[in-house]
Amino acid sequence: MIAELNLYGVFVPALFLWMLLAFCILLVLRRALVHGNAYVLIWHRPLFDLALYVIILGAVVFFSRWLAT
Amino acid sequence: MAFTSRDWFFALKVALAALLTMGIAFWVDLPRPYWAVASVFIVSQPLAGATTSKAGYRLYGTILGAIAAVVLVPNLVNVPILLCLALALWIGGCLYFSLLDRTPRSYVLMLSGFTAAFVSFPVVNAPYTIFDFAVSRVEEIGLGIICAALISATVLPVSVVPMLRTKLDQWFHEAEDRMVAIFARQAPADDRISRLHLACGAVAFDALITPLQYDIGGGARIADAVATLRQHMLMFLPIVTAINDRIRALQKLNALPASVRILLDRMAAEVRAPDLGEIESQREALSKLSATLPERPVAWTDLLLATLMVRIGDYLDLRQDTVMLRAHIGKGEPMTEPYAFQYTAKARTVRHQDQLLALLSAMAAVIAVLASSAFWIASSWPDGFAAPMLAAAACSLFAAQDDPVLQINDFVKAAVIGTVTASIYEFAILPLATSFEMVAIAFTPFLVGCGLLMTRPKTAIFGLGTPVIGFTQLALQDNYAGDFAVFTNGAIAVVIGMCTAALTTQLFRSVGAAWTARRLRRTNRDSMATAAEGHGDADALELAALMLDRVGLLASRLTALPPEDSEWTSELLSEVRVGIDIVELRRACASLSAQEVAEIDRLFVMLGRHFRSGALHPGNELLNEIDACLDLFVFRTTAPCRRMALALADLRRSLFPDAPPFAGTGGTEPSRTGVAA
Repeated sequence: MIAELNLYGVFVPALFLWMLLAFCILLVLRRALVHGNAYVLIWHRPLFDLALYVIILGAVVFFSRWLAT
Repeated sequence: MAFTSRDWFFALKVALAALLTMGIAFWVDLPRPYWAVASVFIVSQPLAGATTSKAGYRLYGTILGAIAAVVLVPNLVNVPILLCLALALWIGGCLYFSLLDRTPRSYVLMLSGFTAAFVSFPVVNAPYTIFDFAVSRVEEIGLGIICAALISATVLPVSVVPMLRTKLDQWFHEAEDRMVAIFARQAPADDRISRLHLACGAVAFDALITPLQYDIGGGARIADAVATLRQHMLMFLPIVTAINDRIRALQKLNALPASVRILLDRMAAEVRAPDLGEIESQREALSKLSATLPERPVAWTDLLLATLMVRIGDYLDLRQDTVMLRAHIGKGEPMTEPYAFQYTAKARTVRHQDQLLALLSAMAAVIAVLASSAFWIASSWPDGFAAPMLAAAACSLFAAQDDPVLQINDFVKAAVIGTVTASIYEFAILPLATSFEMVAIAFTPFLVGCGLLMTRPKTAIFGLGTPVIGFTQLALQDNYAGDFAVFTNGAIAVVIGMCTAALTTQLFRSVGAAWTARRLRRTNRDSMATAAEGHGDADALELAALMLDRVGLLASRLTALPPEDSEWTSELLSEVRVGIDIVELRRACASLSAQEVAEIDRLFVMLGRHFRSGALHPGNELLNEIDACLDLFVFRTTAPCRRMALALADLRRSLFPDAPPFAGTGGTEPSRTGVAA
């Protein structure tokens, strides 16, 4: 079952919020990586970004579960 | 026509993105999965950066349009006429403002216009569902956009950078040939086609700058350098044209000194072998040469030489920046050094806007939407809502073209093909498909075929229109079971809507390339007249940038002009020079005494009158007036008077290239050439 959050009467799937949160974290991380010139070492930047996003999303979902218990 | 591996990769990527979208849409049970697929085709483009930017713009536009629909529909649904009017005005307004902005960013506003139609019209019979409907539309379109952007960026992404470098090399190859010919004094008398071709090429770089900003990898780092380089490329044209003109005039009078000829030869050699040190030493040579000119150039040849040297100075500044910029772009690094040739921030971003055409397009859209919804309401036809929807889309999508009707007509044909294809799928193939895998296999040949068509400019509209309309038709159905009556009704409404769009566009907005070209020239001359009548607060480079932008737009339409127009097209770049001169004169005026300003005022009035009149060649009274002003200023020693004299000499050459040399009547000093021949 997909968890839902009640936002003032509008039900939003929790995953949507986690995805948004993960995206915001990704934006910050990406800026840091650009600043640290890390992308020079990376062959395929979009693929790297996608993988990074999936990892962050996984972490966010994991922590949300961990907080809930 | 043979498709290259690149075309196949693109087509396969589009198909992959479409299937991914469809898969996710079926998996999470979106109400209309095919909307999402249609949006994959709308945003997909061969360059990864272009797809990403368009995807982002489309997402914002969709959200904005959905918000407008959610606000408008519940409040006005009880008065259908008012609702249609409000939506039509929203669509027209969005279209108007999006057309004023010629960058790809304009897509946001255009889309928010017709998305409002797509969200509002289907739910007028059940307005209480508008919020859910709008949310699901945003979800579906968002899903399609994200899948398209994801696939285009991660699977074999195509960067814009190699293409940009090739195009820059081509442009500079052509430009350098021309510069060498001019500096070596072998330029043909009339090569307007190649000159204007260069203007058109430089303006076309605008289309690559947005994909560059969103490029995968390091493209974004050089976007700023490319934008400056584009402006420099345009600025080269009037400056080099002026140098050419002065060289020819001086040669005709046998007054081109040997020292200047040596400098020109060195410049020609440097063009072939870019060298920053050489440019620096040429600049020193130029300042030495300028020092040998008389303090007050009085003789016509001295005036010509003085203006030539100012232009060569500009050229060297531009050349130095260009060499550095190209080196940085080659290495993929941003430019860090200060520029030798500087613009105001506005001069770099100023673009031509055509209020009248934008207004006409918006009006065509408003009337098309009103007419098709009037038909829908008057006939009380439940499925007619697709007509105003498609009328809005067809009016908006092609509004930036000279003659949108041609494209809309092709789009109608694509819609018919799309509808037929959709009906085959709906009634013959999909009922046999029992699982998603089978649906995917059934759609793949169609998706790849459309992707292939998209790679050719000639068939692109079919590659886009067929799947977009086809999937829209499939999406108009509420359920997966094919209902022939609903399908046919939808198909008829779609075609009616698009035909209405073609009709109103033809009535209000169909102008043709030649008309646009003449109008661009008219606008340029109006700008010059305004500058002449102005108060000296304009910036010469801003006006030049705006005029050059128009010249570039005009140049892309040259082939549409009949031969008798070639008389004025050859004057286009020298008109830009005249514009710069007028602004220079106006600015110099600001530091003159009131009496001196009064003396020159008549000249500005005459210039303004000439450019408003539309006559190609100014009359002799203007020549006499310029000569009279020159007479006044050449003998005065103050700095503003010298600037006036130089700008007047420049103006005289640009406006009267065939006039006999200026012979000062008020002067008593003997004519002499200052630089030893």
